[in-house]
Order: sequence, then structure tokens, then C-alpha cells
Amino acid sequence: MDFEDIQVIWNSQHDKPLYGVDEVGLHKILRGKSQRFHRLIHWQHIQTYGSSALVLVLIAATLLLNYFGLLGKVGSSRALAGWEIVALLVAMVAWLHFSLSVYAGQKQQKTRERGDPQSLLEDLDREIKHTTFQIRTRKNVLMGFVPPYIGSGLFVLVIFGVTGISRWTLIPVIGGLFLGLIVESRCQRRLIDREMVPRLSELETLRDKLADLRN
Amino acid sequence: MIHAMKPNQQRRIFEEWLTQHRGLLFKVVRAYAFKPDDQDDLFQEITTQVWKSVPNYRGDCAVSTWMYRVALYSAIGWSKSERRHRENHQAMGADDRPLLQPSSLENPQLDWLYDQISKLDEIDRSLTLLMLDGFSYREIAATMGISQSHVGVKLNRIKKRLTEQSKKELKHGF
Repeated sequence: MDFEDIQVIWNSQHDKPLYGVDEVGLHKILRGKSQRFHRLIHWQHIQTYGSSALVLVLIAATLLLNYFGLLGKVGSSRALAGWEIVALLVAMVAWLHFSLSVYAGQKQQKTRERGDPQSLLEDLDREIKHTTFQIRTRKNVLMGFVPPYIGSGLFVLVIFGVTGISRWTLIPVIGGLFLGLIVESRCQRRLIDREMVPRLSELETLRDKLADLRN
Repeated sequence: MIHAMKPNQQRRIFEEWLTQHRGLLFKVVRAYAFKPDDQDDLFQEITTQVWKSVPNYRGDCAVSTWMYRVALYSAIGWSKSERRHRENHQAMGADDRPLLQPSSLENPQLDWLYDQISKLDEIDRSLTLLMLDGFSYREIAATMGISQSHVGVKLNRIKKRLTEQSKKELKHGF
């Protein structure tokens, strides 16, 4: 073989791209990383539904015990007053509203993401939509958490009232609930800034690069 | 002349260069790094150096020549530090990141050629790449900072070596 032939071999690589993207490998990596993200979101949903169920059961139990006149047997000094029953019902509605709005958003998003994307680009699009939705939902998280915190405040107020605990004790409890609300919204903000926004930008860059390579 | 370049301008030029001359960088990467992980690493290193070099480009040579110069010097530096690193840290895990794969897998002759280039020392590898990509002796000498006569001597040796090797391989079949 002469050097001219070697030159021809060298030039042959210019007829097609030097490197291609291993879409199968990349798809596996994307699915692995997405699984971690989805587990995190799933865990948050479990916390939401778990805490809602717990509070709703407690409120329902209090109302039922009061209805059957059994409140005294569980440490209450008196039956519930009319306004206290209303307060507990409002608390129930607040918690139901919270969990149902989370559920409705989740369901709506699932409907939008229906189907099993086969290609890498389809999967990327789906993950981008999902992450955008999670960011949008959490941006107004402070307002979203107000109803359950008000519900919890009302429940505590009623329980303190019927058990005869000093109303002054309510001040640190309400303060604690307020602090919890602030901490919760800060945690969600951190989740957006540290996990979701970088993930979204990574996904969008990857999608643009893939589209660019295909063109 | 480009001085005190704004980041936006630097980014625009960098992206333009990278789009137009990406192939050149891949060739350098393939000649100096052989494992997928190393190739990713070297590609990152070269693009970082190209980014830093944008404000220093004065237009006195073609962009491709400039990028070749930056890429080859980065690759030579990377190769030396990588060798030192390997001497100190044996048996690195073979974590094959599958993001990029050579699309010339069906071209055994090209694989053979890259294999032969990889057996040369770092400077000769650069000279070979530049020669194969059609740079003149004068341009190669200017890029590598050596005399034209030295380039001529070295390239003649490399050509001879490559043709001899190809004849040997042909005897045994590619």
C-alpha cells in the first residue's frame, strides 16, 4: 500500500460523521437518572397522602366520638361546641382540598404523559414536560400549603379547647406551625433550585444537541 | 483583532467554531485517547482550551489551523499528564460511558490507521494528523514550533513507517 492509499483511507472518514450518539446507552442513562427523580417525587406524594389521611382520620374520630358522647372517655373535659364542630369540618375540607388538588394535578400530568415512549427523543420530551410541571407546581407551594396548615391550626385549637389545655400553650404551637410552613416552602424552593432546574436545563440541552446531530 | 471580548461574543464564536470544526477535534481525540472515558475527558479538556483561546485568536491563520494547534497542544499535555496519572494509579475501572461511539466501526482500514497513529510518540502523532489533513510543511512547522526541514525529515520517516506497516498487514490480511 502506498502513502496515497493511506491518504484515501484517512479521507474516507470525512464522508460520514466521525462519531455518532449511542442512543441506546444514552436512553439507559436517562431512564436510570429519571427513576431516581421519580422516586423522590413519589416519596413526596406518599408524605402528602399519608399526612392527609392521618389528620383526616383524627378529625373524623374526634367528630364521631363527640357524636356518640364518648369524648369524655378519651380525656376531654366537655363535648364539642357548635363552632368547634364547624372548625373541625373546615379543617377537614382544607386537608381534603390539599390532597385532592395534589392528586388532580398528578392525574392530569399522567394523562398528558400517557404512553410508553420508545425513542430517546420521546422520552426526553416526556421528562422535560414532567420536570416543568413539577417546577410550576412547587413555585406556588407556599399558597398550596396554607390550607392544610390552617386546618392543622384549627384542629389543634379545638383539641386544646376540649382537653382544657391553657390557650397560652397555643402560641408556641401556632408559632411552630408557621415556622413549619416557612421551612416546608424553603425546602421545596431548594428542591426546585438544586434538583429540578439543573435537571430541566440538562434535559433541554441534551434534546437540542440530539436534534442538532440529527439535522 | 479581538480584545476584551464580551462573554456573549466569545460564546457565539466558540459555538460557531465547534460546529464547523467538530470533526477535527474528534480526530485529535481519537488519536490521543483510546477508552471512551478518556475520549470524553480529552474532548472536555480540548473544548475548554478552545474556549479560553477564543479571545487570543488574531486572524493571522485559518480557524482550522488555530483549532488544530490548540487541540494538539491540549492533547499532548493531556496525554503526558494522563500517563503520569496512570503510572501512579494502576487499574482504573473500565467505566465505558456510552455517550459517543466511533461511527467508523465498519471501516477496519481506518481503525488500523488510527491504531498505527496511536503507536507514534505524541509529537509524531500531531505531525501525522496535520499531514493527513493536508497542511503544508510550512503550516505544520509554524503550528508545532519546529523547523520545516525537521518536519520534512520526521514526516518522511512516518510515511515510510506507515507504508511498511501497511504492506506487512496486507500480507497477513487486514
